[in-house]
Amino acid sequence: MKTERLDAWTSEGRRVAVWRSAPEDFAPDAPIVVMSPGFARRMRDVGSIALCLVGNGAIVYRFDSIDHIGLSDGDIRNFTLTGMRQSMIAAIELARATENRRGVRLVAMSLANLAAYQVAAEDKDIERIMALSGVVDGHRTITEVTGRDYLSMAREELPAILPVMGHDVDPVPLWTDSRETRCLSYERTIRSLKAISAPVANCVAEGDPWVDVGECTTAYTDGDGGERLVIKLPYSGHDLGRNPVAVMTILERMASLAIGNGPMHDADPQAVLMPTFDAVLEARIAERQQDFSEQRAAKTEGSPAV
Amino acid sequence: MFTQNLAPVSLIDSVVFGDHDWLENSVEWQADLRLELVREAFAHHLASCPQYASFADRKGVTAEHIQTVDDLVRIPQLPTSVFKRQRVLSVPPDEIVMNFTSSGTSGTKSVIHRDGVTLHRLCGMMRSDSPLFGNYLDGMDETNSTIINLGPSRSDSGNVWFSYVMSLLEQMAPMQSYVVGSDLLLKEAVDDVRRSLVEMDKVFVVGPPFLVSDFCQEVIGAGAPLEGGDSLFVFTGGGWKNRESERMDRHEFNKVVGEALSLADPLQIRDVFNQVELNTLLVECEHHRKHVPPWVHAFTRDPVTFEPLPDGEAGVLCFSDATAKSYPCFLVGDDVARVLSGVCDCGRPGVTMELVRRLRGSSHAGCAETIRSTVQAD
Amino acid sequence: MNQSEEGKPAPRLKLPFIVGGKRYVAPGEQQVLRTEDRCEVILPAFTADVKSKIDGLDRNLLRDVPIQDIIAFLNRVGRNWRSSEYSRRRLFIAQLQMVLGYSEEAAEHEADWIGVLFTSHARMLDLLDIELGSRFILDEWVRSDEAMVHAYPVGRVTHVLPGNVPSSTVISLLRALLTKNISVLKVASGDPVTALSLALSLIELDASHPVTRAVTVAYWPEDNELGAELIRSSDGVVAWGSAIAVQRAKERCGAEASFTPFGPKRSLALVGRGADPHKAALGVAHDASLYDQAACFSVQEVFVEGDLEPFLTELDAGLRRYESLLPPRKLSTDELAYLNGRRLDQEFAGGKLYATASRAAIFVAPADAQLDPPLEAPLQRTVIVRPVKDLVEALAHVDEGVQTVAVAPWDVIAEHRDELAKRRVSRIVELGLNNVFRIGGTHDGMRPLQRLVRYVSHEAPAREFPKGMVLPLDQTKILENKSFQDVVF
Repeated sequence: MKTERLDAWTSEGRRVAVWRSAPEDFAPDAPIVVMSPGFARRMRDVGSIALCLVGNGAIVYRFDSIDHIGLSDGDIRNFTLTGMRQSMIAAIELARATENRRGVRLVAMSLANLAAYQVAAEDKDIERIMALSGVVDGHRTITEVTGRDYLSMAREELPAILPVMGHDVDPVPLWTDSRETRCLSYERTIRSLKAISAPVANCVAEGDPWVDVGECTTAYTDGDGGERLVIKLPYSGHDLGRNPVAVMTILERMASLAIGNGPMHDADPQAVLMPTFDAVLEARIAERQQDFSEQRAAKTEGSPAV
Repeated sequence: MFTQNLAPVSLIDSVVFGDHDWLENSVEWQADLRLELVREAFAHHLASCPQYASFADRKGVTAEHIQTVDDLVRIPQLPTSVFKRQRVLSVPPDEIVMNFTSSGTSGTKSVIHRDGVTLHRLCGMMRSDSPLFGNYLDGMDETNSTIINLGPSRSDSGNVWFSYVMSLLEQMAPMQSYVVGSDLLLKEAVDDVRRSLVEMDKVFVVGPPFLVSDFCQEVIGAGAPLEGGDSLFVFTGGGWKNRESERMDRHEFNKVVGEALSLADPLQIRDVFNQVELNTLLVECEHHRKHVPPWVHAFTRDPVTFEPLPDGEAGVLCFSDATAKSYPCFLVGDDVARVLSGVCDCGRPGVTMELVRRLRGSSHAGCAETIRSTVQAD
Repeated sequence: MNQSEEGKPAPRLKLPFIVGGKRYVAPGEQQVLRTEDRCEVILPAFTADVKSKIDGLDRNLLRDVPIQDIIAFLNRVGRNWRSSEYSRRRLFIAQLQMVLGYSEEAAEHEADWIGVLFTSHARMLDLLDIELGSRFILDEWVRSDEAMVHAYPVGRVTHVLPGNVPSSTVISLLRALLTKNISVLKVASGDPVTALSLALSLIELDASHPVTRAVTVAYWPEDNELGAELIRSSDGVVAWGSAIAVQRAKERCGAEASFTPFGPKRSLALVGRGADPHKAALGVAHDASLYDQAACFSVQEVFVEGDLEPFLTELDAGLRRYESLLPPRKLSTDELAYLNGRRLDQEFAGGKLYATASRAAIFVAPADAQLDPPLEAPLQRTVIVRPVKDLVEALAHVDEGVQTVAVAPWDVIAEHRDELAKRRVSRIVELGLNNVFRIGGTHDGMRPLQRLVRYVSHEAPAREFPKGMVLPLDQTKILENKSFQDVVF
């Protein structure tokens, strides 16, 4: 897998760091996949998925969101879902410009799933969306994660700093974004899903404390704008990437959905070529090195990147 | 709206990769889990490895015989010599990812064939928040730590198991390896540690004890003290190999290393036990006892009768490791040890192992041929 | 567990080197050999001083000593060994138990063998006759057709000795002395006792006798460069033991020096349909019990034709009987663990454990067992029984690694002898006699005395008609007359 660093720009002129990974040789109609890691995860954390997709002929664009950890502008302290959505749009447009094609597929992890739905609701050239532990009710998930319903509080009740998954987050931008755009609400998800005619799938663990399978099923029933597929994973936990044995099973399924062209529920996981154990390990370490060297370069340039 | 189900993850995977800290549970709870995990592994190998199934059949043991924790000793075990002479597989050959050998310089070596699942499980336990490491790696992450490996890099380690395992620590933090070809670049390693102590919160020096000893001699010889303080950690494994004559006892080793590297606390030095046939790392706690996770059943056998020994009695160390999918990891090992069940002095409940020494190999010195040369066909 | 785990110190035994028949006690440096967990043996270090003393020994010391004097001296030594009151013998028996873990009975048996071998003066003369062609050839010129031939010792022979078969040391030394060589007996770490006991018994009889002065006993570790140099400068090397030990000795042996390798080999038994199960089984029990299977002639596998059960029953009884007659060597905990591991390996490979005695064990190999290379033989009286429909099936298991094939009943051998020989076995004997090397027999395909001498021929002058000619041998005239073809018939 060959990975190159590119920069995309949001409509507000902020830099989004993008990694483009492609096979040595790819078909003219190779699927273009734009992939977003979830909250508190970097694009290098989804390297094994990228490796698998590229190994099966796809061209993969990954990005770190702005106002987040990773190589893009801003700090996770100021995280908003809108920032994540803008980053996704920037990455999609960069992919289109680079590959000179409109059709793009989205692979989203966790919270990025909400951004993916919102983008796809307004972009008819999104061909399909695959999510892993994809959040459908942002408000509820954030309440579960933080232990309190901060989004329903009055502004003045908000703490100065909210620790979320090991990171200090200023709750005000998130609260404001939520109030102004309703981007974290279940209703917004349903609205988006109704507007999306492309196939949508979500792999959700039955024991996920943050994303409820039933909630997802209901959302897909309510937001039935096209083919909707819920893949239930008989695992526990939200961070499925931690269990590499489970990841290999999920990867196989995810890849079959991401690169296929027919109905998602007919996708054949057997047709997927899985990366080797060593290739996954090598890619993981190589991408960490790439990440670190880009961070060092950014510091040298005096860039605001983390 | 469509729904589909993926195959469930096995219990062993949920334990190895899960968040659950088994050390928070009682000895009995761990024993029950061990029973379930090892019995499941036994059933898998009976079903998937014809050679092992036939052996178990001759021994008259079936999965049904393993009903209680005490029954685990009935699982038929293999001497490591089996792996020196034949391929023993519990998965189709095309699922084998790598064939590992021990790191000895002479004699016939064991060859252990591992598939992706078996390797993933090993990798999965090598994370800084795994209970396997106790609190040794607390606060370590890939942004604040670096590892100086007194061994070859993974790509250079070839099929040598110990080197490969040590190189896998690179998953946890960036690593520089200082054995190139057959040369240990001591000066470069020492320079790197000095540099890293300035730049990083935690610096780990990993390698076999004799190379750590060489490293310390290099530091002393350089004349410039190396202030390890509470930032430098030493992680050893693999024993003294062909430098057995230089072996220091643990107390002396800690003293030499602690002084040479100016470590704030000798507890910053820890040892890990592993061998090519075993798929799990047994990591030492603050009281120098190696903790056995609930997916491994460890016990000792009387060397004379090979009967299982009670807790705490020194004997031939034996393992049944449930993480090995590609081969039956039910082993009669090559070490003398004591295995204890209970609450360790470090406060953690469970099973611990104290290594006494390596078993001496064959002392056969007569002129009888013990391993036959190739039989001619005609 | 063993003594170190129990915290008891292992008993210590301090032994000297013997250099040129004299005790050599190290003034300073020492070597410590730990024979399992049984005891610690302290020996002098093999220093440049030791080596230079050995290098200074006269390699022709025995050249002019008549054979009869050598044999007579050995005979006197042997008579001492035959006496149960002989203190050296008693000490030897005690040390074999302490250092090698021998039972008292087995150690007594070894001492008996030393007595028998040293006093076998008539056999020694026969041996010279058979192997060298004449028992006089080391003393004088012996007519050999158109030449007179005299055999001389090669000089200094270094013996790389095995650790577990004391009689090999005895045989190796006797062969070297019989051929008038001086010997450096490089003992194995497992048995520093036998060679020293022999050398000391020579000293005790007559310290100034040339035979006594022809014997040196020392030990050095494998990687000792001084030891390697000593081997390189030897005129002959006799190497016993493991493949590694023999190979290493060969690599160090000088290009012009003679090299005599013994080992490693294995031995097997063939039990034909007509064999008396009791007699055959007892023979196997003997051949598998002696030296606890550490010798190259020890039977490891038995191929049994016909009804298996009566043979197995008798073999079990026979092995138990031999556990009383020659109780097994005491094994360290590590050796026992190793043995148990190898036996477990046999089971994994398909061997069915038929019976175990206090040490001995019988495994039966079913047809589908994979008891083939590189499965390691457990030894220590572990007999692998292979049922066959026809003894011909056993041939597939025979290769050049087989030294002795023991057979019962004796008459079946006529059928298989040639085929076994083609497969490079060295000896064919009757079951129960593996350890008895008959006069005239060979050892690992050789007549070893021939390797320990150099022959000088004093050939006939021109006036003696060469065979095939009827006139004196005048080569100039033959060439001038171009009559070569006419005069040589």
